[in-house]
Amino acid sequence: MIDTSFFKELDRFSFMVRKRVSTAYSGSRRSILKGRGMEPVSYREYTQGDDFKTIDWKVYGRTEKLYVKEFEEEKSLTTHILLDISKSMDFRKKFEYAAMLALGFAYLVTKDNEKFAIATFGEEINITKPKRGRRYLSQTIDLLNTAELFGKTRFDYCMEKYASVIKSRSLVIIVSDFMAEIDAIRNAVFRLGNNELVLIQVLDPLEKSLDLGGEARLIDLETDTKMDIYTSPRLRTEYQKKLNDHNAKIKETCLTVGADFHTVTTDKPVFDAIFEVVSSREVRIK
Amino acid sequence: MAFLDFLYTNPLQFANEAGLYALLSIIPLIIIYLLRPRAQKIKIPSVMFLLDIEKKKRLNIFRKFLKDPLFLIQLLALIIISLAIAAPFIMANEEAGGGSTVIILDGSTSMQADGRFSKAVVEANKFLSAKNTVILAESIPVMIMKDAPASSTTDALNKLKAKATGVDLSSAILLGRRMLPEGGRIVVISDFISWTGDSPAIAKKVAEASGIKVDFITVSGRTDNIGIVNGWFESAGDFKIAIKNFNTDARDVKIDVTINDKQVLENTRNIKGQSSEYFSVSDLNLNPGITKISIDSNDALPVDNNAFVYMPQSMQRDILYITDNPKSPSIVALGLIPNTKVTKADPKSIPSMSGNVVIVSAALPQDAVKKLEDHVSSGGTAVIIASPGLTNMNLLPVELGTPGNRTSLNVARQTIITEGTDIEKTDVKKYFKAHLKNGAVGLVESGDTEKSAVLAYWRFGRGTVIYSGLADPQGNNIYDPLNENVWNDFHTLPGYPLFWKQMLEWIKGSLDVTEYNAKTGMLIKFPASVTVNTPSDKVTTDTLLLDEVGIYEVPGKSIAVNLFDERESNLVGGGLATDALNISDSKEPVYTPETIRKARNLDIYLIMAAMFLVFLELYYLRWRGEL
Repeated sequence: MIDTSFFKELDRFSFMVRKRVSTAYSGSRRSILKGRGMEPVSYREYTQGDDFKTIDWKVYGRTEKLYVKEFEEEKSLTTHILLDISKSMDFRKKFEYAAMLALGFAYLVTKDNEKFAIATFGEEINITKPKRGRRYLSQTIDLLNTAELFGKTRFDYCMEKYASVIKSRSLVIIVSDFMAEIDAIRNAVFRLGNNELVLIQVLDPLEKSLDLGGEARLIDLETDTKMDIYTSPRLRTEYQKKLNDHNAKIKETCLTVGADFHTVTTDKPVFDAIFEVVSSREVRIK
Repeated sequence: MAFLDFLYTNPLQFANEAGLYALLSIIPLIIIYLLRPRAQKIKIPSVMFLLDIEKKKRLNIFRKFLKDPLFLIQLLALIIISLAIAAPFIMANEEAGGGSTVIILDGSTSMQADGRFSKAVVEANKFLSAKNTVILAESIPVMIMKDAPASSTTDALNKLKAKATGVDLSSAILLGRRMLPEGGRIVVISDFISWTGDSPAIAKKVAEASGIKVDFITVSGRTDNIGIVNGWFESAGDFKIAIKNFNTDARDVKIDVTINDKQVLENTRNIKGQSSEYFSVSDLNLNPGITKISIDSNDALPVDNNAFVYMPQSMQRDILYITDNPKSPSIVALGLIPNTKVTKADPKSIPSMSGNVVIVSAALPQDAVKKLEDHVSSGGTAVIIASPGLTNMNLLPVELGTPGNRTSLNVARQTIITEGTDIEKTDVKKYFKAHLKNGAVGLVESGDTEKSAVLAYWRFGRGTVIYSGLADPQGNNIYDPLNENVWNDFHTLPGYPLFWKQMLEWIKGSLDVTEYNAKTGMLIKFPASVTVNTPSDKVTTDTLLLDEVGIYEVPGKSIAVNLFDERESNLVGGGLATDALNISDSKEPVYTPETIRKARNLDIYLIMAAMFLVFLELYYLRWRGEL
C-alpha cells in the first residue's frame, strides 16, 4: 500500500535530484523546434507567406529591409507511464515496488507542472488521459492501490493500442518484469520507438537468483504451470544464463530504437532506482 | 543364450548366506526417501526459462526413467555391497593350478646335437596352457618368460636356441616349483644325458611333495661325436687340448690351428674308439691374439669341434737385463716365468729401455745412469741388484755404505715379493751396508743391529726403483760356498725363481691367462650395465652368463670361451639310469592340463562395481555443482 509518507520521501528526493540533474528532465527541457514563443532566437529576411506580426519594424527602420523574428517554440513533453499489472507482478513486493517507481516518475513530472498518464496493462490496457497536478497524482495512487493483478501480459496488443493514443512525441516509461515472449516485447518497443522510451524491468531477488534451496514444486503465477525441480547450482547457473540472454535481447532491441533499458531488483531502494534512470537520461541528453 | 546356459550349469552360490541380511539395509534407504520432506510449493512469476531448460533435458531418454538418479545409484550400491558381503561364487571348470605350466627346456650343449632342441621346442608347444612360464635350463636356470599366454609363449619358444653349457636340471625344477601354486604342472624336456647339481629325480620328488605334477619328456638323436673335451695352459705359453673320440671305432681327425685367422699348423691324428689324444700348441705367449684350434669331424655335435685361446698383448712382459755377467742365475729364473721375454744387454751398449722392466746387475757408466733415470722418471720400473761395482746413485732408494760380512735377514714388511720365498733362510756372507733414503720403503733388512736395507723400493719421478742387496754370484762355480764371488746362497734356494716371478707380478700386476680364457657356464658380474659382444649377438647387461663357445668382447678385454665338458660332449650318456627318472618312452604324455571344478569368487567384482557407483555418485553431484 502506497501512502503519503512515500511522497514526503519523494519531496526530499526531488530536491536532491533537482540539484544534481538541473534541467535534464521532461517539462523544463528546451525544444529544438522553432515556432511561436516568447524568446526570439534569430532573424531572417521576410519571405512571402510569413506572418506580418513577426516582422521587426525597428530593424526595417534601420536597414529598409524586412526581417522577421524567429522564436523558439516552447513545448511541453507528456509522460506516459505504463505499469504491468499481470499476475506475474503479484510476487512478494514486486508490484508495490513497480508502482512506487511509476509514481515517483509521475511526481517528478508533476513538480514541473507537466502532464502525465499512468496506464496499467496486462491482458488489456487501461488508458487514462494525460493530466497535470497533484490532485490527479493522488487519484492515480488510489487507482494503483486498488489495482487487481491478473492474467498474462499481452505486450504486443497493449502497446499497439496505447501507441495509437499518443498524439505527439512523448516520454514513455514501461515498468514491467518483461516476462513475456521476446518477439512480443520487440514489437512493443518498435511500436513506441518514435517516442523517448524507457523500459524498467522489476525483478524480485529470488526471481533473479532462483535460490530455492533444493527440491521445490514451482507454480507459474500466470499460467498455473507446475514444475518439480531440484535447484542445483548447475540449474541456477543455466537459469541465470537464460534470464541474462532474454534481457540482452531486450536491451539490443532498445538500442536499435534509442530506448533505455534498466533492470532493478526489489531489494534496491526505490529512490536509487529512480535516480539511476534519471541520471542515465541526463547523460544521454548531454 | 550361452551366458544363460553358463548360469544354468554354474548357479550363483553364496559362501556367507548370512551376509544377505545386509540387503535389509535398503529398507531404511527407501524409507528415508519416502519420508523426506515434500518439495516446497513456490509460486513464481514465470517458469518460462525453466521450461526451456527442462525441455532439453527431457530429450534424454534416461531421464524419463531416472527421475531421481541419486536414489537409484545409492540403492544399487547398497544392493551390490550387501551381495559382496554374502561372498557370492560360482563353480566353474578350471585348469589345475590356475592353468599354470612351467616348461623347462634343457638348453645344454648336448641339446645342440642333431636337432634335439628343435624337437624339444615342438614338444613344449604341445604342453602350453593358459599361463606359461618358460625356463631355459643351463648351468644356472634362465627365466625366459613368466605367466605368459600360449600365443606369446610359442613365439618365445621358437626363438630359443640351445646354449653351450652344462645343465642343472634340479635347480630349474626347484625354481619352477617356487612359481607354481598347488596343482600346477612342470614339464621338463631334455635328453637327460648329463647334468650338474642334484639328480632331477630328487627335484621332481620335492616338487611333487608340494602338489605339483612333474613330467619328464625325453628327446633324442644321433650320438656319434668327436670333440675337444679339455684344454689348459702349460708353462711358457704352451696350450694343450684333449680330443676324445666317443665313437666305438677309431677315426682320423684333422686338426687345424689358426692364429688371428692365419693357419699356422695342420695335423692329423688317429684316435681310437672311446679314447683321448692330446695335442699341444707351443709359444702362444709370443703370438698375442685369437688362436683357434679346430678338428674336422662331421659328427652330431659341432660345438665341441673348436677351441679358442685368447692371448692379450699385455701378457708378454719384456725385461731388459743389463749385466756384464751372462751367467747370472736371475736371468735363468726370469726366463722360466711364462709370457716373459728377457733381453740381455751390456752396460756399454744399452738399447732402448721403453716398455721394459729394466734390471741392472752391473756398474753403469754415467750416460747409462742418466738414461735409466729418464726411463724411471717417465713411469718405468728399474730393479737394481747389488754387485761389487755398484756405487751410490740418485736412483737408489738406499744410501750405500761399506760392504759388511755375514748377517742374517729379516722380512721387515710382508709383501707378495717375499711371500713363500724363505728369503730369511738365505746365508749372507757379504752385503752392502745400506740405509733407507727418505721416502723409501724397506722390505727386507739385515739381522744385525744396523738393520741395513737389503730389499727396498721407492717412487722416483713417476716410476719405481727397487733395490735388491742380494748380489747375484759372479763367474763360475756359483754353487761353491767357498767361492768369494758368491756373496749369498739365495740363488740356491727353491724360493729364488718364485722371488723373481713375484717381483714381476708386483711390478706389472698378476697376469693370468685364465682371466682371458674361460669355460662356458661361468657367470661374470659387472659393477654396472655394459654392452658385450657375444659370439652371436650384442647384449647389454650387468650379469653375463658365458653360454656360447667363441670370443666375448667385454669392456677392456676379450675372453675366449670354450666348452671343455666331457659329459656334455658324450652324447651317449654315461650309462645314466633313466629308469630312476621315471621316464617312460612308450607311454604317450598327457598334454592338456587336468581340469578341476573350482569356486570362482565374485565379491571382488561386486566391490569394484560398488566403488564405481560411489564415484558415479560423486561425479553426478559434481556435475550438479554441489561438490
